[in-house]
Amino acid sequence: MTPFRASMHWLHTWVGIALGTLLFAIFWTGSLSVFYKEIDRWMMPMTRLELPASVSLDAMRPAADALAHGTNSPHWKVYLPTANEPVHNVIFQSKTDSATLFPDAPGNIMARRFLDPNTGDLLEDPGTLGGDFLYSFHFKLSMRRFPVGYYPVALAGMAMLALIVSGILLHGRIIANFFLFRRQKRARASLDLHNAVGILGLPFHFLITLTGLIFFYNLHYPLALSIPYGEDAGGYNREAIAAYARPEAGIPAEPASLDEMAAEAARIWGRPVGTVRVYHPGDKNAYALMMPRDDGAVSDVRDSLFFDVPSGKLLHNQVAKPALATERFIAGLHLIHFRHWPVRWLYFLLGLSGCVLIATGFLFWLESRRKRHAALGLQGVRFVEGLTVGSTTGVIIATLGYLVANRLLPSTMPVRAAAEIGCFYFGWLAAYAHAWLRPGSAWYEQARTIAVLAVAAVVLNAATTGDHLLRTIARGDWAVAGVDMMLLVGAGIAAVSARALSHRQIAKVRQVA
Amino acid sequence: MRSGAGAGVPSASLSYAVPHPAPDHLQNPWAIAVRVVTAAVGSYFASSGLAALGAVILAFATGIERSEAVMVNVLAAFLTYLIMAMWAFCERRLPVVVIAIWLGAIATHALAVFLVSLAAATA
Repeated sequence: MTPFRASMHWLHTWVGIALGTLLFAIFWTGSLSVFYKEIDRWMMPMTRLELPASVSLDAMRPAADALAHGTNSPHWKVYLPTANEPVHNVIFQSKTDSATLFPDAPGNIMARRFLDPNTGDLLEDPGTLGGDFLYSFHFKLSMRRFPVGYYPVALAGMAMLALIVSGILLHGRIIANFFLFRRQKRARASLDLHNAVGILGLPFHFLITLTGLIFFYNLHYPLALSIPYGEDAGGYNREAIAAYARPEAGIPAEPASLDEMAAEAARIWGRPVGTVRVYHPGDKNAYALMMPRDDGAVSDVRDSLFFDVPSGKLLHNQVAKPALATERFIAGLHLIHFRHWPVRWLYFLLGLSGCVLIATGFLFWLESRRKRHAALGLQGVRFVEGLTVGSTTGVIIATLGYLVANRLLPSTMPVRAAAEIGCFYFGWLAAYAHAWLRPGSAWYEQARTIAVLAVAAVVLNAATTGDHLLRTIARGDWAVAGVDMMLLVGAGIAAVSARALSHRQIAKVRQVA
Repeated sequence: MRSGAGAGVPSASLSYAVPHPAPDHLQNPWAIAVRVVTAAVGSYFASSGLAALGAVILAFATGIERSEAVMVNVLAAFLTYLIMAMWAFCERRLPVVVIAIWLGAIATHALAVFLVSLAAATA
């Protein structure tokens, strides 16, 4: 092996062991995030509504204004109802919500409430962060008040790119290795599977990681954004993105019709409005920022129209210039806000193939060292095996624990959303403890736990909401039915795996005896 | 960190050989630590400085809008970061790695700031 290939091998091995845990969790929650709106419907029964033919901004504005005034939020934003989110999704700044354990902590969180799409009235607080928790774990480890979670995720992302490139370069004969599958030898089988998934998924794994990093370019390269503007520190943001802003006047004023402004925006773009953000609601200087709906194309377009709310007059029209529009396309490749369902499923499956890639990488590390470590009395394999189990089946158990807790915790409970999240982390930690304490049987016991929890989630959904599979399918509620069906498929795979693993375990015990 | 790489472990029978021995320049733990910090942190700042400098020069040379020049260079920065970080583990001479990357990080930022202030002074 040449020194170059040996360096690549060394890099691949150690970066994989050091960051594989974080990467698996990011790929797992990222794959689920393809369907996070569907998971929202499953976890928030009060939002399982039918999308009305038309919705009104003027009807929902009073409730949104009241939410913002109630928490002194300088603005509110609404995601208008869509087929997979048939409610007004209103975001505003707050010190507190049902996921907040420490309401007196410094800084605000982005709180979220839902409004009825027909009347614009406030819906009951769902008492859960729903799929949004998994989604925000994917890109910022769900850190809500302190925005530091983006950085470990970015580090893992760069590590993933380095893993992919080094994983290719360490091979002497990549084409030959690609067609190799040595099923009989365990270490070889995990390596061959790792190689096959790695090559087949290569374009996706590389692009999904790179696009995810680029999406947060303004967080990751602050110096490159500010230095070219010299003394004018906020110049980049003003020039490229938020081209209009004005302070509060302190004088109340009646708003004009938001629906008419939205109609004007739709006329200018030739496509409907997707989101509306109102700054200083109720003030004389109130203004509305509108962006188009992004479910009809790849690009995550953020062209913006700014309206004067008291008069309804257009203030500013911001269109992305070519380089920024390119970045918005790259971001769109990652965000997949488009509604093309076969492509969404492809993203989901390819995302899970990333999980398989990471898990088989761990397995090969273990199997190729097991004998040697046993002979030399080294503890590395035992430690990494526990790490692998906790990082793979452990995070799946945590996710299912989160769903089951959602159906079991009473709706009247204070800080209910925080309790659900507590169940997620408790389940994960328990899985690690179990993996390190019972190294021989951890794999199949955790696989069995996954099967049980997934079936329990489906049963609990039917018992607590009455929406069993037959009813949701008959109603055409594919969000809830789809989550239930995926839980059952997952339970089946886990049960088959648990059975196979326990047979292997029994065979091994017989061998020793 | 060395347990898996196998350095320093008394050589056992052949069947328990290390799967892939670490190359000579990735044996000393202190040298590895310096490489890791240089690759992760140094390469980041070098790519950031290169993007800033590239944006300043591109905007000046072509007259395109600054925000556009920034965007083009920041898109490239993610890949220059990756390439520099990986090079930090391939180049066998550690001093070359440390000097090239850290000097690059400082020099590119400084030059970009200098060019912007020069342009502001002459404008």
